[in-house]
Amino acid sequence: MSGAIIECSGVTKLFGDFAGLNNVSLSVSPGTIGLLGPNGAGKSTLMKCLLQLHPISMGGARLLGRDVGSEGREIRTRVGYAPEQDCLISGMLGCEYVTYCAQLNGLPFQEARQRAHEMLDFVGMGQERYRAVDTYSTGMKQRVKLAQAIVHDPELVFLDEPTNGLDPKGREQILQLVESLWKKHNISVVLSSHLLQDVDRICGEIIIIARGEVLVQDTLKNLKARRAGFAELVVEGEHQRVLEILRANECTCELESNGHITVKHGRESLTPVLKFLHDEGVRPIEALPSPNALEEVFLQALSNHGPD
Amino acid sequence: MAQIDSSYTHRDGDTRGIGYRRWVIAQATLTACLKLKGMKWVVWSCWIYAFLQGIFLFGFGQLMDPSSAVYAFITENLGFFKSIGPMFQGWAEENPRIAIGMTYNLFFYIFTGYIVSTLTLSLVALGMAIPRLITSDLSSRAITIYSSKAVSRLDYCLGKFGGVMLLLTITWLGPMLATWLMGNLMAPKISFFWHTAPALLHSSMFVMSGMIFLGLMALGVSSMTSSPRTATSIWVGVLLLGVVLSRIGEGSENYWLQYLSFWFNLELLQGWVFNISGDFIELGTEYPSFTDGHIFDRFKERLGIKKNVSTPRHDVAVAITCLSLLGGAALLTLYKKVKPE
Ligand SMILES: Nc1ncnc2c1ncn2[C@@H]1O[C@H](COP(=O)(O)OP(=O)(O)OP(=O)(O)O)[C@@H](O)[C@H]1O
Ligand SMILES: [Mg+2]
Repeated sequence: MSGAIIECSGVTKLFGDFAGLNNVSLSVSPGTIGLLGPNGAGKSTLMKCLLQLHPISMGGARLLGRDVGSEGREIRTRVGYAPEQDCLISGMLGCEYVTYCAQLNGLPFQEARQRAHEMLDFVGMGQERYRAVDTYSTGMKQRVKLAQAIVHDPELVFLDEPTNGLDPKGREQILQLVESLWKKHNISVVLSSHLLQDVDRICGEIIIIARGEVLVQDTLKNLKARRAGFAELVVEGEHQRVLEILRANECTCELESNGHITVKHGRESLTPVLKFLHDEGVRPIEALPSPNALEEVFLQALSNHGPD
Repeated sequence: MAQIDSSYTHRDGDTRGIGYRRWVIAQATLTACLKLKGMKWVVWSCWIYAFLQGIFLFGFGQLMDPSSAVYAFITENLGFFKSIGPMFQGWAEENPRIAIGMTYNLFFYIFTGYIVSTLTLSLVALGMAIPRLITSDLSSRAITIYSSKAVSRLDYCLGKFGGVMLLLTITWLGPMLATWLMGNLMAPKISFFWHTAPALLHSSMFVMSGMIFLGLMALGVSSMTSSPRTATSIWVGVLLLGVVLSRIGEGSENYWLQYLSFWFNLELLQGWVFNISGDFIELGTEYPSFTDGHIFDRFKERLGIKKNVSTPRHDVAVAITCLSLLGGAALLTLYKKVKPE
């Protein structure tokens, strides 16, 4: 698909006097999009407005090239959504629930049931699918939510904090799955999170949002380039000597409490730095170009925006 | 947890239209209701009740047939029927529209709305179903899931309404139809079908309008709260309030209070649809000596039919208006409450 999948122009969402979203304008192309922001930033509100779960107070938005205000129902046949909170239908079995969700999107029963099982396999649900959803653990709920969001083979899915409450292994699995949605299956993903690592791992494009406003929208690559002049080195012993060498080469550097050395070298890439260290006989165990780029950009964006 | 199997595949089948999606919601609602503890018993009771009524109609049919074994048995054991039996038979020959048609009309008037009837059982069924209709979706935030699918709030409400209609069809309309069919299939003459058609028409009209009204009320009550207990309590409260209001209003200066009771309004509507008093008036003109008998007076008293006066149109119009207003209030509650958070 070509063209923007999400277009917002001046979207404002008022809750009484309070603006949950304030004049948000965006144009997003297909891919994996990370929606970052602190608690209460308006991430969930943005998703809900795009899906017409909340009516938009002012402005207009288009999803997949169609107006959400007038064609909401048609759009939603091609869009999936996994909300932040629990939203299971009590009394149903896991597989019944996913089948039902597929039917609600217009899949005939036979196909709905078959796809429900495929998706439950896909998200790694085993025999638990034959249990009532009321008995599920947080991890199972997250998986079922993901399954119901993709069961009708959408072109775009909104996942609101899909890794919340998952153990490290489960989180890794879910992130892999989400990543594969775009990389292998060409389904665009909008993923909201306040966990920078998640977004850093799988998202191609980042939208930073705070207090209802979009602060930054850029590709992860560009954001990292903004921090290109920074690096983090891990060396064995001889910390002082390395610091001296770096300073002699016009770098600002500091020894962190964990023994890592952060370097502000100001060069386009890390290669020249590694070269002069090598010339001095220093071989870093690890060298990270633009470390914590996302975190830095995130914190900077928030601080530019004024104190919370 | 099972190993990850990234077997995601794209689908290329058709997508069904909005009618199908609404039907899916209706079906799921019915299924959820039938799964409730005790609902099976209520449904069975409705059908057993229908069956017993069918047997009763069979007995009535046999009265018309002097050659039948049942008739012989009855007249032998119950002297009362010895006198009334031949009278009915002569009558059925002479004026089947009155003898068969009107009697059926009276029977179905009683079947569809008497104190102990499938209506009462249906109200019980609705009371049990109410926490499952919308209340549970409100408490589990399932409304959010519905709204994120290809259905709108209206589609959701239509689907739920369809589910309630299906439930009431099982507990009220279906048994009524079954009783009618049973009575006629076991009747001595095929012409029973023809003569009793008005009774069927009246029953269907009344039952269906009652279903629509009660369905709306149930949905309205169900959407008022996210607590199952509160929802059930409200439903019981509404039913009791109806009884109390019509009792207080009855025969007092504040007779208008009765119109606030949906029981009373439904009764008026029923009386009008079945036109029982019209039947009695006709009976009185054709067979004056007959209706003056004290049996019929007691009957009329029991049924609350004013002596030989048809239900005034004006009263019925007020009743229908009041029912519509109540239904409208239920719709408004739905509109206000059925929203994703
Ligand atoms: N229904 C509502 N009524 C009133 N205010 C609301 C409503 N929904 C959201 N808000 C407010 O809008 C703001 C944005 O909320 P939102 O849920 O979008 O935040 P978020 O970015 O998803 O945060 P989190 O990371 O905690 O999920 C918050 O201040 C919240 O209090
Ligand atoms: Mg949120």
